[in-house]
Amino acid sequence: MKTSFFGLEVAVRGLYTSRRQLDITGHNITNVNTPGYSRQVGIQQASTPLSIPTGAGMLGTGSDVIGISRIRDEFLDFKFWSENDDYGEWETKATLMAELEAIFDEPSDSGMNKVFDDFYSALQELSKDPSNESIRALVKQTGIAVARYFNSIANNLNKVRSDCNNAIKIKVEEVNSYARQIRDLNEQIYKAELNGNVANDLRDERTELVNKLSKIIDIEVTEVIVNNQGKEEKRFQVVAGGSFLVNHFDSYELEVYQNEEGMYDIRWTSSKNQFIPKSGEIKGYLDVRDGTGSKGEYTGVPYYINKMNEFARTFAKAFNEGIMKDGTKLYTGHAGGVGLDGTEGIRFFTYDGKSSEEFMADGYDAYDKITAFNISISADINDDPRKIAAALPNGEAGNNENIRELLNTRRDNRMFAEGAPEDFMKALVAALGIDSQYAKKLSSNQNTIINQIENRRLSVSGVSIDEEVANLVKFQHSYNAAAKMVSVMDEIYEITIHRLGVGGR
Amino acid sequence: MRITNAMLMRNMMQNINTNLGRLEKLQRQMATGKKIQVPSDDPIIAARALKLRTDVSEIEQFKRNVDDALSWLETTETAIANLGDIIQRARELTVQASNGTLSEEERLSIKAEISQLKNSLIEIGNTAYAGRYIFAGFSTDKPPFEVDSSNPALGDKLIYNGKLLNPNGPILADVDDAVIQAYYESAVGNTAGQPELCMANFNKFTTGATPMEFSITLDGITQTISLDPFTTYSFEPLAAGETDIISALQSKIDAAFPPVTKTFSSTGDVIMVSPIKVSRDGNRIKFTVQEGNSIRLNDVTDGTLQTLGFADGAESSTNRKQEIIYQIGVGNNIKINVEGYEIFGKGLQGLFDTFNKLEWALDGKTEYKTISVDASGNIEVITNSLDISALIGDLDADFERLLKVRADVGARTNFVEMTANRLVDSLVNFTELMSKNEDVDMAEVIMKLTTEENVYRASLAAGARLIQPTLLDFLS
Repeated sequence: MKTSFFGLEVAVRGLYTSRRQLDITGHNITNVNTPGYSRQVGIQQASTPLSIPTGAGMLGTGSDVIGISRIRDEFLDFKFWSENDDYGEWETKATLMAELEAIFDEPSDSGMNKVFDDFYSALQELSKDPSNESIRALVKQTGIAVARYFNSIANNLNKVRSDCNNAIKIKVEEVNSYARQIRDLNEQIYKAELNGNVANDLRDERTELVNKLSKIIDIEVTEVIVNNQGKEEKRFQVVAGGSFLVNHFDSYELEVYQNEEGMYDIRWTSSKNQFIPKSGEIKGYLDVRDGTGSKGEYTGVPYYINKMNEFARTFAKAFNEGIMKDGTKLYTGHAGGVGLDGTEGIRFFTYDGKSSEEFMADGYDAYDKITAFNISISADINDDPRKIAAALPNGEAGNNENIRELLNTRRDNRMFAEGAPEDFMKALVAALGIDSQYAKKLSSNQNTIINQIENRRLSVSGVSIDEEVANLVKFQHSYNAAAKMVSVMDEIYEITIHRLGVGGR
Repeated sequence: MRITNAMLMRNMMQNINTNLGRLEKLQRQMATGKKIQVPSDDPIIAARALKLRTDVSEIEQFKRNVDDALSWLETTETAIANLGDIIQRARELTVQASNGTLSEEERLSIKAEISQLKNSLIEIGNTAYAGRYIFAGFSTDKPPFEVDSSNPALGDKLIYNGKLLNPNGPILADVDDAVIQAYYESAVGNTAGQPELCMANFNKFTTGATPMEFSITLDGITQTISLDPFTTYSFEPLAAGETDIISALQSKIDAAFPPVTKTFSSTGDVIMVSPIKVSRDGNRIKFTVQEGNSIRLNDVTDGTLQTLGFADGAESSTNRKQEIIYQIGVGNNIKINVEGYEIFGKGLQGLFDTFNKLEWALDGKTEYKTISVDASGNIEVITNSLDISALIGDLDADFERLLKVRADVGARTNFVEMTANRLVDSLVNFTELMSKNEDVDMAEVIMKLTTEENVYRASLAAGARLIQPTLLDFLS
């Protein structure tokens, strides 16, 4: 038998349902700009009908919102995470390579060209007037500028290295922080979902954290379903470098330690196993910091430092001794010439301001000790530019024979495997340009991929205001209609209660 | 595909950003005038820019070198022209003197003028350009020519860079053969053009027990020279217990390479000529060998040569010219100097000798002597007759020699001038190449910039339209 207020009951359900849907719509609208937010929909269902005993069928009892689910394509999340690490790596590299380009500052009017042009111009002037002491002073000064050029490039390159090193430490701390937050969220989500609900907003928050984490290191994310004492539960796991970073309620920390070079390496705090990232921002920093360019390594800062060391060393040896990269002696070299004061065996370039005598205590092996960091002009030249060996024996004041030989070193293709000093620098700058271009290109390609995935994600999960407003209108109308229903029922009861049976009175 | 608001915003921002990025790049190109700012903008342009900058800066340097070379050559040319004038004047005077009879007064005045001209020769020979003596070879810091009148009997002797230019030149006929012999002996090893080795400064040193040795190779024969143990070697003046390094080395070298004996036929004396003469030049030790020979020094025990102030493997070349060479192009070198002996003449008959003979002839002398070495190495003093009219021929020979040098200098000047013109062209070409390589085409950039500006404005306008309306705007 149908209860008297059945109709009112159904109408109230309609009101509740519409209200709930309006709440959900409101939630969506307010979160239209929340990063990582997935739109939510109320799952609306007709409530359990009553069967009419007379066999007239089932009588509907109204509607219910039985759940709120978020619209999310998790496949896209996984795809995003698997691409984001490459983006992080190449974006980092592109930024750092741009920094290296700024250090070399080529082509410009203050780069290697300028320094070498000035030096050789001074030598040219000296070749025309070898006894002129003011030109000798100029040669000394421009020689110092050449050495300083190497020093400053090397020091700036080293600074990039130490910046990378610090960045690695900070990034590792970030990873740890994200891992902890994900672990905490795992716990909250687990508890919230014990009764079978889905913790939509918490899950969104967790996805957002994994998004960020996936840029720093390469991770594998899985949500496994395990059977715990007959009950199925979801466990969220993040694996990095083959070990768990987060496993359900546990998170594992990474730490940095100093390697023999004084640079940070990364290991797991608990197991002390080394952690070597395959991609991500940390990998970008590591590659630029450590890449020597040999054995398949990235051409990072050490590659450029080595190149500059080779440049400084070979140039110093060729200028001092006339010995080329391949070991052949083609020129008398500065050491074989005679200074204005009759001295011989003076080396123009040494390291740490050593005098020729201190420098040559080790013989030619001394050149292995010259680096771009320490190259300098020798104390002898620094103290007395008259020792610049412009002449060959017998060292007459107007003898410019040695300076003329030294001038030829500028254009000598045999000095380096790459050719003359200019060619060496040309090759280096071109290589840097190409590396930087490549990093930029890869970073932008990866950015395009990320954008495309993000677009698809937003297409599925993003809030459309039009849609929500349409829903707003829709549910407002259904609310209005349900309310009307109440008023209709009210009228019916009015009639039933107050008008029926009034005739007998 | 479902389109959401966040998507729209994101895409719009991305597109506006991309447009703005292109706009920024063009703006930067316009502001700097350069196609590229960093190598990664275009590595090939960057690499080429590096090379071209070097080329341009080198050409600029070569231009400066050319200017300096021209000044030097012009100074040389003027000096040579002045010498030519002197010879011409001397010739006029000689012709005048040889024609007919001269009064004593006339003869004296001609002689005075000749002496005057002779002094001018030296003055011009010591011409300096920017404080450097242009005829001095490498020794640009010292005037190359001076006249040695220390032995009046022998007449004036021309010294070039501290050495006798023509030791075998004319000597007054009334000089005693013994004096000539002494002069000859002093001239050996003191003649311009003899190869010598002279290296770093020498400092007093004392040898230890271990032998200090080095070897000398003279024309293929190598001998070892050992310094005495426990001896202090020094330059003069010597303190007590010190040994003179010069005489010590000379006697040891003479023992290794025995001196050649030569008979001086006029006196019958035998003189000894050391193949290697050791002497002192300031604070340095000098080894001099006869013209046509060369020596090489090698260390036997390490450091001996260095102690003496020589380099291991040092070698004197046989006929090394002191050519001052400027670089005026890649692989384009030009010798800019003329060595004094080229114009003054070296050997029996030089310009200075002609003037000596002129003076003697005007003094009424009819004979002069010269030194000659015969095939067997014996030395003879020859007496020659002196005739003023024959000296015209000598003057013509001197003038001829001068003309040759002048033509050579002229040819070099022409070459340098030609190079200068070519360098101007090269500079234009290379500057243009450099500009083409790295400078932007302004018209093109401005056009592109305008286009990009429009695109950017359009994207902003589209964005503004896109964001504004939602369904809400149409609901009342």
